[in-house]
Amino acid sequence: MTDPTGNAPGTVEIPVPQIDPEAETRVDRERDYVVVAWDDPVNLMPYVTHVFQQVFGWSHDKAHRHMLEVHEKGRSALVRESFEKAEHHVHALQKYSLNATIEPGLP
Amino acid sequence: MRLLGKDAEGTSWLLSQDECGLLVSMLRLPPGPRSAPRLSLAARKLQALGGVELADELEAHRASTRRRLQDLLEHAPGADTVEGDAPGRLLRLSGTDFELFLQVLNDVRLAAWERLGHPNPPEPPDDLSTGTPEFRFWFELVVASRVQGFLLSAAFPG
Repeated sequence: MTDPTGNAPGTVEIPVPQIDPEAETRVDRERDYVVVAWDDPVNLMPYVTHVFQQVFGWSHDKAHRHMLEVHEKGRSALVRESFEKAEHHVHALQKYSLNATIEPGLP
Repeated sequence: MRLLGKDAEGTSWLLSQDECGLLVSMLRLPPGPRSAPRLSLAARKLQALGGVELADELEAHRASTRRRLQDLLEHAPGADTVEGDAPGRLLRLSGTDFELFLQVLNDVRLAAWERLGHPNPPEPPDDLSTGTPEFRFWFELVVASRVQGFLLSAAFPG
């Protein structure tokens, strides 16, 4: 039997994965925050759906689902992303007077 | 108020003189105080470190959008040739201005709601009297809600 890799018979060379030591940390940093929208009794449901569409570029159906989650469960995790992007989105939601916060992402 | 047309540039609306006057009057009233936006722990830490003063920036944004909408309404050209309508105003809104209009209406709604003590549900009592101090805020809340709902349903039907 011929080992196409050219290794000596009876030995198997296990390839050592090339790991970027910063890769995992970088991914965590980039996706470590969640934008959360909170329920309130005053914002109109079609308005909230519209705002989600505008801020995140979502379809009406997706925006509507998140709006209902906010309404029924009190909160909805909207996106998971870097702190800078999350901050940008929270600021955009607050310009529309929606209750939104940045929360640390779950591990 | 009626949607006349919608294209890639924005939307065109016909307002009666009364509707336009009512909106301008509401925007001229001093806005009620708004509570600071809810901030996450991370955002509060960022602010403590000298980051952006989010609340101040939001207040500046609200003031400028209110001025922008007031300017658009006050300078909307007359429109008296639309069949079946009394003389009115033609309000042309870019996509951005449409969003600002929604934001301003929501600011009016929320400021009124806060001044009323956060009623839940936000609906006026049956025995509301025009002579009470709360009347102005209920009026603003109801009118801004109606206009906001109308704008959304007309511009994005279905």
